[in-house]
Amino acid sequence: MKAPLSRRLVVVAAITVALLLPVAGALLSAAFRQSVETGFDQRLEALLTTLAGLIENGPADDARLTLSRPLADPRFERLHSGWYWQIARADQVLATSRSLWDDRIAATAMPLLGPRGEPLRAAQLDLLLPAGSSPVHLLITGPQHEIEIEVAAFNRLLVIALGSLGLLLIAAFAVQIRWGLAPLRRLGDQLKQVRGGDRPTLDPALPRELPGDLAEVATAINEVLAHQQALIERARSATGNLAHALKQPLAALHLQLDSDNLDRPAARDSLVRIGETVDHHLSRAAAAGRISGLYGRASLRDSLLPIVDAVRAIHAARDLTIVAELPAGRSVRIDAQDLQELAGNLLDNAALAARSEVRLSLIEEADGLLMLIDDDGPGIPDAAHALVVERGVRLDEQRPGSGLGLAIVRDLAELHGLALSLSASPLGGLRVRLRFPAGAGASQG
Amino acid sequence: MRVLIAEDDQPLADGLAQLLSRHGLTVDHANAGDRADYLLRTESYDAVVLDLGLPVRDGLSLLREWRDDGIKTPVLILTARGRWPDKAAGFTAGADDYVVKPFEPMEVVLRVQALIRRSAGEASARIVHDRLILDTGLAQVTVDGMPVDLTAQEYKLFAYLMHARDRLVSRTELAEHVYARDRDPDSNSIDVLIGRLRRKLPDGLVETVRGLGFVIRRP
Repeated sequence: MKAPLSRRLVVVAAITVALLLPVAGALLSAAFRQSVETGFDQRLEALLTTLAGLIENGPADDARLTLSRPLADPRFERLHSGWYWQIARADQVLATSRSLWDDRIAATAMPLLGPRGEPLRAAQLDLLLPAGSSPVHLLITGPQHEIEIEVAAFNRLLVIALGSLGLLLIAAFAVQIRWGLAPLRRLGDQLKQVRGGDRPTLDPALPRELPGDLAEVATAINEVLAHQQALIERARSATGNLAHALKQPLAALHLQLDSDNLDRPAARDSLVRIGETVDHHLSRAAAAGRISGLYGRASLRDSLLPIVDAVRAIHAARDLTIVAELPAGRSVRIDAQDLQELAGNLLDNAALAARSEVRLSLIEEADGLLMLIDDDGPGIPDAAHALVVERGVRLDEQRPGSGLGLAIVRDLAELHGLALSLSASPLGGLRVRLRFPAGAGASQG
Repeated sequence: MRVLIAEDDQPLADGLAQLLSRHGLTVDHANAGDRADYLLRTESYDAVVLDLGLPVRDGLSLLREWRDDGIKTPVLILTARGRWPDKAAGFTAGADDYVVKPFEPMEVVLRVQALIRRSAGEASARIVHDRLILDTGLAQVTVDGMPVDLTAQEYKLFAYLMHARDRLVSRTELAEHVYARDRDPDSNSIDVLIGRLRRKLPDGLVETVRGLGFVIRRP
């Protein structure tokens, strides 16, 4: 398994920090050194100017030179301080600072070195004295290592500062990542529990506690889990009911075959019951087998026109008018075959009950789409409306094919989250209402 | 009326054939798709009972091909595929009716008869002709309300002529639609049957067009 997401993010942040901070440090250090060197050089230039002003005029050929007073800086008095000055004419040294003692500096050497071999930084000037025949060369130096000391001190500070900054940044990243990924981890933990069987679904309150985008994921996961759960329960109860519904008439059939005088109508009735049971459960299995049906989309017109034609053909022998208003370009979120099965059963029921007319209509509502199927048959009593579609009454316990044959319709409606209800039809018979909820159920397209 | 049963389940096909002939229909049986195709293209049938799960050639593609080739014989699909998407596919392929197995035997009889009537332009199961009534549901003929005692062969021949009223029907056509394929009638037997029918039915009902065939004219 790869490293967890949080660790990856921290590693990336640490690498970024580790690359960026040294570069910043190097740039800062270089800038500081430049600034220190410039300051040092400016001081040397200033001292050089002062030195030039202090030279006492002597005879032009005099090998000696004096200053009107010593340079104010005491470092020029301290022996081998690195702070030196030297005045020379050609190769003849005319005067030096006390700090230089008897030593001389080779003004042309590069790098410029002091009497003890220490590197020096210098300012130089050629000066034509009024009395002199040839120019004198003024040289003033300071020790390079003072700059190095200053820069080194700065660098130490810089390393400490940037190092702490880096650690702080990485820590902050880590905290941010942990905090940012916490909802994802919660989701993951709960999913692990679901997988381990410790909980049937995610905590229903979880989507409210998660940020918006993750909340949608959690809600979707819960929908899938609920759907899966429903399928499992359906499969379980279907198996039980199937066994019951088949064994009863099979037993009856056995008895009838073994008896001396075969009761043909009763045997036929048993066979019919077995056949209807098989039909019923096969339809349910076909519907339940298409888990992906939850995510399908079906064009109402394309799916239902063939069904309307089929119902018309099946009832062609009777003088029935079957009217279907199907606008083009309208689709609902349902498996196309399940939609066909739903509508086919409802239309067929209506056609069987109708005297002369069946009507399929679609009504757009603010929060969904309503499918109405009306007939002008005898209808059923108002009191029975709710009972027929009541939830909790297990469909499979009703004998399939008996009564209204709404069992498959109700199963499919339940599977796809469609509301099914019955009422009296303005045509005089029964009106079946099938509601496709908005968002989840219906949309333009 | 002659019906082709395309069904690979032998007991079911036998039962169906028996049932349909009891109700005045002549039946041929094909147990595979290619056989059904051959029979329908070479013989004359008034309706086809078609199973979808046929060996060699499946029923749905057969039906589609027949319709594409302009064969208009009414087809009733008889299949175990009972879901509405399957039914819709059946009708789209060109079926005229669809019955799901297991079925009520009488329903298939009534639906096949209704198909034959519809293709002959008759709406009702009872064709009323002056004082005479042909009840295809009961396979019975009455005159002034009194049943006429007809043999199965006589009834089949008469029913075919009644469905083809005002149209000249040749001896060959009659033989094709009344006799099953394996029982070739001799040239004389149609005239013998017509002669017997004339004695049992009102005078002048079945006219002979010399050298061409027979016709029943609407009153």
